[in-house]
Amino acid sequence: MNTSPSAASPVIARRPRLRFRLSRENTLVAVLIVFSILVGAVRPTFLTWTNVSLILAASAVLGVAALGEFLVIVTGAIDISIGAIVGISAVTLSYCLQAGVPTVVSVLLGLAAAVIAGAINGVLAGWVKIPSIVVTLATASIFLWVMQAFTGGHISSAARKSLPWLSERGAVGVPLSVLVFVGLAVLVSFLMYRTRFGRDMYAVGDNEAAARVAGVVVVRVRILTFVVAALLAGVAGVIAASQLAYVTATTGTGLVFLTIGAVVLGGTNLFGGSGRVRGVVTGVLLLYAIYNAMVLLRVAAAWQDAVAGLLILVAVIIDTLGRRPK
Amino acid sequence: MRRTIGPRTEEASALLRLFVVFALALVVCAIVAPELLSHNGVILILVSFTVEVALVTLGQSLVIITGGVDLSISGVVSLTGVTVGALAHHGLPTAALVPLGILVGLTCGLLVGIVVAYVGAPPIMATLGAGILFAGIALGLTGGSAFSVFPKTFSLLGQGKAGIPNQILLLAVVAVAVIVIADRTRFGRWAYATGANLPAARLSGIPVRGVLVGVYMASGLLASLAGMIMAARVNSAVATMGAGLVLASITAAVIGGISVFGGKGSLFGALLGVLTISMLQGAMTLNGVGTEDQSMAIAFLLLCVLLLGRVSLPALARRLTAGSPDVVGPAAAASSRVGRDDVVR
Repeated sequence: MNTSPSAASPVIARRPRLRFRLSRENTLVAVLIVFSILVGAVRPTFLTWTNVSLILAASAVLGVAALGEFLVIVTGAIDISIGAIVGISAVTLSYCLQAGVPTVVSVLLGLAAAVIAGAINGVLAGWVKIPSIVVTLATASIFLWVMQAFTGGHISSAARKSLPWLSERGAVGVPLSVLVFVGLAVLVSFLMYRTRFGRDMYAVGDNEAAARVAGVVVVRVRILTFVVAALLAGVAGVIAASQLAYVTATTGTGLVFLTIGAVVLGGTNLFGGSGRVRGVVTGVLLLYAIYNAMVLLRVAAAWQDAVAGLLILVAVIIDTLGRRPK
Repeated sequence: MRRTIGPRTEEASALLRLFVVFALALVVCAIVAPELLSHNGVILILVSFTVEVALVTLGQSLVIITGGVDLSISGVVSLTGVTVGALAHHGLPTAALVPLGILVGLTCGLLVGIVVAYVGAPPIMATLGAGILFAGIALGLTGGSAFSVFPKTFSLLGQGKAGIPNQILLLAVVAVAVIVIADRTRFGRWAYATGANLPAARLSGIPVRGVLVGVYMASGLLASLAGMIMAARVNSAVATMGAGLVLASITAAVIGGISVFGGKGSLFGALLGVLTISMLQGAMTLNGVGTEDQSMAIAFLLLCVLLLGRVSLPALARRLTAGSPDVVGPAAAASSRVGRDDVVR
């Protein structure tokens, strides 16, 4: 029970809709559970702890990046460059490690590079007001190019050697990266539901003009959203670098559509203005559970993308139909 | 009477800006790769860089004009190419391949159109999911390999010549047809009206849903043509053959002056955008610039053109001096745009 939302909060009027949204996320959790039981019945391996922890470990990178994409989509924008930003952080980190920079400093530099990229997106989309899809389509190419030029196309395996503690299984049985994912999900929840910045993001996504009239500095919110999203993508890049045998500038490019897919699957309103962190986390887990199940059920690898695409399309359709005024 | 303000002058200045960019590209090309401006050079540019991108850009532009965006184009190109390749592998003749390829494109477009128009899903999400699905099916059909056996007559689509290469003639015919449809028919006017203001278009009796399904089917059809030409040209169909065409088509359309908010821009401009890009690509290729450097240069060009169209320097100066930019001043004028921001993001 929360008794202390500020009375002036622009989100107050949205209470009834939030209740509706909660039930949608519960539905997704139910889908995940039913799906797991069904697959588990056919392939008992699916529900073993080894396999579950495998799914969790695999979902950390996508999950953290999806949290970033989630923020951007909540404000009614989209970030196509999120995969390139994952690459920026991973490459910067590996490059610094190879140059002998201490691990902590390298990680910070990787995150800083991601934040700079996010700021560029934010300024172009939020301040210059170029539509975010066009901005990030363009910056994605530019970021990739900068990274290629920076590394000279070399691949690096330094991160995996320097950050084993991040991706190796710890005392809990899951890698630290999974705990980072969970921790960041909690942190983002706090940011979205308990801070003024979070409420501003929902307000801007719901109705930019109204938010502006209500005194929200829209430009600042938009720029900050892209920066925070890039920071999360940066963390995803660090995790990716610690997991992968080698890192290149294109390390994250395949992630973009999956992050958007996971956010959509999680029930985030595609037009902005609503969505819950819990849904995003469930969406990511469901996506990886399905990929994992396809492997166990011996679905040919070549058809897995088609299944994922069909799933996202169906999620979009169900989501849109569920949102229609009755 | 002198027109001072309104869509006419706005469109004219967009076209003027485009001509300036095109002229600059021409000058760059004349300096760094003069041999490209000969007859053979132009043909080379058109065949290698223009035709397929131009076809998908026409479709992309129609979709953007109605206020949407089509991210499924790459998937449709791949799926068409691969389907045709698979059928050719089983010995079907050209007379069956081409209609079936077109059918694939129309079906993909119909599916996307229904999801956008009748279900009401945001175009960006519907076409994203559909694009992954189409490309996924293409990957499944190939199993990761390539189809590279095509009937001789089919290869004529991308390798034959009737004075000039066949696909250039085909593009010319298709481009004229699409431009006439967009500029001179009721359907074209409806498409612009739908993108300019959807509720108003619906209230004035325009069958908005039909128009939307129509443009997505047109985009699918044009993408399938591009897919078949590409397969015929390189004599191979792989699941990733369409990759990059979404970005290329959006870039060309936007450089060509198609407004990403819908309702504005000419297809002729979009084609000029394609030509500008392909000329620069030709010049860069001839000078040994790698593909990654090329896509970066084009992305940069896109941003420059957008900035050129967006930033008004006096307003910028006022904003910088006025402190909090969102409360008063030019932002208030800009807020008239706000209502449409959520249509295309």
